[in-house]
Amino acid sequence: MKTKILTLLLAASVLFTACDLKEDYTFDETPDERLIRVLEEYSETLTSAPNGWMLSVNTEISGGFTHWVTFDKSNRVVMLSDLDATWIVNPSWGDQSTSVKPIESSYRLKAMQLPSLIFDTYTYIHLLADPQAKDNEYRPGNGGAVNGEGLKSDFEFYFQGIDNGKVYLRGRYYNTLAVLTPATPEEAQAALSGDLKTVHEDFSAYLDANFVNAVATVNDQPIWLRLGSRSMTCLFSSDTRTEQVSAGLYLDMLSQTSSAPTSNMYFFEPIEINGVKFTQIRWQDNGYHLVDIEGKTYPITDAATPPIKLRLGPGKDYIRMRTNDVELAGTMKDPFLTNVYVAAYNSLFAGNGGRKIQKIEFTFGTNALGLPVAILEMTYQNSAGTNYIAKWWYKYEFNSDGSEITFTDRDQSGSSNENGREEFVRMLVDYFCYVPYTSSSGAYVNWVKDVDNIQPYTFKIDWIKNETLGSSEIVGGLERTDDPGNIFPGILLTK
Amino acid sequence: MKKINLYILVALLSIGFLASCNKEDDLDMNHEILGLGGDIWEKTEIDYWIYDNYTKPYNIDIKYKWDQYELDYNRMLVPMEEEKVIPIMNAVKKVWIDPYEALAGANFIKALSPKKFVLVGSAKYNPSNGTITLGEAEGGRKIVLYRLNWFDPSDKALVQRIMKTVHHEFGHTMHQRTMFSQEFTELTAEGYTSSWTNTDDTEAIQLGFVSTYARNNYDEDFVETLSFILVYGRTWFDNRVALAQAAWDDPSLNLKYNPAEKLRQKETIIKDYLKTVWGIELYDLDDGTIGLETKVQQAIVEVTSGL
Repeated sequence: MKTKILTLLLAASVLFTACDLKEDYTFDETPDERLIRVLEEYSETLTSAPNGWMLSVNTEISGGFTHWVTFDKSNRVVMLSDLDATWIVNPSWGDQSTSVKPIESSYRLKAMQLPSLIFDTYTYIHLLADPQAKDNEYRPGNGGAVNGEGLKSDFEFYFQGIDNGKVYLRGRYYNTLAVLTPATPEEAQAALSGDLKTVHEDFSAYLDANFVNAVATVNDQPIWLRLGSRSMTCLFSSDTRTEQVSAGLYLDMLSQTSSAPTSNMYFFEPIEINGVKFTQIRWQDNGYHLVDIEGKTYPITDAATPPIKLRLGPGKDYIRMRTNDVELAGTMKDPFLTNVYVAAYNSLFAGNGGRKIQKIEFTFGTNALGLPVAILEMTYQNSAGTNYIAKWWYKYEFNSDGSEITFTDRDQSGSSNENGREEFVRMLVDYFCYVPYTSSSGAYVNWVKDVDNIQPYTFKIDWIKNETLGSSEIVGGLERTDDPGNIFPGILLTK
Repeated sequence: MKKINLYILVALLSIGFLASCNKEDDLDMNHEILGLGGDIWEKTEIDYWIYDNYTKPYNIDIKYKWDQYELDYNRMLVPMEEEKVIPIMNAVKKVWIDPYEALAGANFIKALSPKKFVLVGSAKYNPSNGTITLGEAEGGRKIVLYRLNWFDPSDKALVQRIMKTVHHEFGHTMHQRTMFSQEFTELTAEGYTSSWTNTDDTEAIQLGFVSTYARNNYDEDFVETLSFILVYGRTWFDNRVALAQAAWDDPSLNLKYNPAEKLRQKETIIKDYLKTVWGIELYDLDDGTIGLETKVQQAIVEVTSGL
């Protein structure tokens, strides 16, 4: 009996479990079918845009580049690029006008880890990625691109999705963000008329004419916007340091109208500045505005000097100041100009065989023991036209919040350059710290300082307005606290 | 009873097994697996040219469109300019396939040739030692050529550089099929170094090598010597030997062996190898037989003069 039941059970299980022939998919199609369908949908989308697409690509090194592209059903793509607005393009085919001459190449859609769009033979977009130099010149031309890396950009993209008609892409190699926006008839026309380049030129001209320092206020904090036509860097102060946010952006050609002298700018993805996320910079009501993800606008105004604290010194935003009468013409003012710079120049020229001061660099660092030492380097030219550098070391200290610096002592660096020059340029080297000597002949080791009468000077550190025509350098100044208005100016350098 | 039950059980099970899966899959053989041969595009003139000149006669595939799967994943490379594909592959055919075919017959190339050329527009940068790679061969199956966007058929030096890469890589294919004599590996054994990038050409001459890269190992030495003779010519090689002889004649250099002699010995081994293994004459014979070196040299002149 027992056996019978067992047998029946076995038979039943065999009968019932046998074969469910139907394959069970979570979706209605096989993965391959779905992949093919998705690729076909993307293909249909790309090839059916009647006026082509605006393709903006965010390179890691140089920010956003925009192309006008059309895709056809035979795997052919025609392209223009705004590359020539920034770079001297050096393609092997010889024509440098990337915004004027459309070129045709191939593309294909392929199922890789994700559905992908590949520009699979060389065209303008590859100039951004090209790692190759020729005749010691980098493609795409005059700097910025790194041999072996290019501008860090992609030409092989995964589809991220379609939203509101825009196709979002992400590069396979550098994770480059890219976006395809359907072109309007006007945009296609503008691109074919060379506007991909002129929109950059107009924007740059507008910036030069209207902004010294672009400033917006976000969460009651002034934000310094360093704007370019391909990227933007925002700087703002926290308690201890300067926060910095950078993002690539792209311009659109059609927002520039008779009432708006220049283009709107879009970020590739929202960027967060002091706690608020922004999507674009828009022209409205006769001015530029940052626009946040809620649509709220923040007007951008101009300021003579940056709206954040100037942080100067080792490990801070700027470590060096560069000064000369040419680069700072109009910015360097009396009394420093006449009493110090020109006086030192004339004294050296007249007293020391026609030697001419070329420039002064003041670097704020530390010595081998970690103690603060600033190096004043005076480059001068002899009558034969050769440049030499005289160097002095200054001991210095900052006040508690870094807004003031005091130079407490000075030494020559030990070479004959400053040893033979110092007597002629005392007004310059003593401007920072007055050092008298009881004996000053021969090599510096034999000089004897009159230590009781060394006079340290304290300076206020702040931005000063760059009033030099045609210069967009960021300028700071050291202002003597005992003589307000007496300012040593310098172009601020980060390294 | 027990026995019968067992029979029933077996019978039932058998039915179950036999009946079970008659699974007829509706296989659509027309749809290829995506990414595995399913990589399709509308054919252009270039594709037809490749089919007529490489795929049909030699069963060689030329991949000129970007395909990351063929390449090193962690290097930045860019694809070819379309218009350079045919000029380059035309030069490759004239300077590489035709000379071998003329001397060893059509089946030689069919049997030995790599099955795939992968063409890349930019050079491959090697961050570890600051060099660039111009070509690579993978197990005799595939040759990757780099930096082809700089191709200019009238630039002889450039054509020679590319063709040297092809002949170099094909040399590997040949010796990977049938190895050259052990004797070759011992000729200048102490000159081999993996840090050849830090050596200079003068040193290579004094040690009996055609190039610094030849010092990498004896395989590279063999194919470098072969490809330099073919692409830069017998006269170039004779000059190289003369330079080596001059170095040997300079007592101040204190060389351990005569590098000119070593170069000549390498040349002889290569000549014998081609003749005995593949039945190919390296140099012209007195009876009027044209050798491989002459054929290659003539083809280079032909390609670079636009004939």
